[in-house]
This record gives sequence, C-alpha cells and structure tokens, in this order.
Amino acid sequence: MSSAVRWHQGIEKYLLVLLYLICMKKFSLKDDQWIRKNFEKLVEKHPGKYIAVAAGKFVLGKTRQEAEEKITQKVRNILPSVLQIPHKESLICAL
Amino acid sequence: MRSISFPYTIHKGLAIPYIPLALKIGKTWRRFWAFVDSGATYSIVRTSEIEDLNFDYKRGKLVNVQVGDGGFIPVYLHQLVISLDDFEFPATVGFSSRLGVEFNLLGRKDVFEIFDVTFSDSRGEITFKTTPDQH
Repeated sequence: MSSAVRWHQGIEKYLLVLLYLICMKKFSLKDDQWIRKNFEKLVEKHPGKYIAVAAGKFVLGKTRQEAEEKITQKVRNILPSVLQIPHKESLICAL
Repeated sequence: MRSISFPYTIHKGLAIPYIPLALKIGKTWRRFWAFVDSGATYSIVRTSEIEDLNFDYKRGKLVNVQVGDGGFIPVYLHQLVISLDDFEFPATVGFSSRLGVEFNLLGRKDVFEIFDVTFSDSRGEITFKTTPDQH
C-alpha cells in the first residue's frame, strides 16, 4: 500500500472521528457532580478560568476553547462539562 | 409527565441555582452551566462560550434587553435545542457579548412554558416538571 493511500485512509478515519465528536451528546452526570462538589475550591483557587471535566478528568484553561482542546486530548468520547469559574464577588447577585 | 431535579450549587453556605445543560448549536452539542433566572425573559449564552464554533450568532433576531443597571444590551435570538439531563426541547436562546456577568442565564421563554419550575431552598434543589401538554 502506498504512503499516499495510507495517508488518505488516515485522514478519512480522522474525519469520521471528528464527525462523531461533533455529533455526539454522550456525557456523564458524574462530571457535573464533580464540579458541584469542588465548586468552592475552584472559586477560591481558579476564579476566571475555564474548567473542563470529562470522565473524572479535569483541565483548566484561560479560554473555553483552550480547556475543551486540552480535555479532548485526554478524553475523546465524552462531551465535557465546561464552565467559567466565577469570582466569589459575582456569586451574590441580583439578576 | 417528566420531572428533572438538580441540586443547588453551594458556595459559602449560599445556594446558587446554577445547573448544567447541553445546547445543540448547528450539529454540535456543547455543554454549559447556566444560572436559572426566573426574572430573565430569555435564556442568554455569553458569546465567549461559542467563539470557536463556526456559528454566526449575529444572524439571529436582534433584541435589546434591559439589564440590572438600567442599560440595554444587544441579544441575538435563535431557535435551538436544549437538553436538560436527557430531555430535549426546542427553545429560544439568545447570545450576547455584553451580558456583563460570569454566568449564562436560563430564562423563562419556552423553558418556563414547557416546565413548571420549582425552586426549593428547603430541599436544596430545582425541579423542572413538564407541563401536562408535554410528552
């Protein structure tokens, strides 16, 4: 098999995985529970940053995009739970 | 009838109605956290949460929404699908770059029409119960 064909097949596989990731809606409620459980610590230590949690693994990022990219490198088949960690001052609000 | 409950998120003893949900933007499902706000007419997502998606939010219907300081912010409304737990429903969702708070908002339009929403501080949870004409 020529390297060009192998390259082509590799690209095809990559695109199929990408399509699957784009269309998937599989997520874990445990990831949400993890965020709730650790919410106070996160607000204390990482206000303003984005956290992404998937399958029990978590990453931080300065932007949502950064956090999502980091977590999809670690966990590929779970839609991550992502939030911007609020500053403690913004938790008392009149919306 | 379907009932979905979320525990409050707690910070320093304060119960915050901050819940996870998923939103289908184009073909992409994306998960968000949103502040359930019975005083908000529309659900509003900050545009910083969707910057990396190929989604032209400005193609939505522009409305000016009054916020807490008396000013108005531009919000672009779209018809999207929200998923609460695994219950999917169509809803009007706005996008704004000027929301000014660190939360997305889950407001009344469609959401509070599809569900009876109960804030129970005594039980520490928010419950979304589908109204009788929903499946």
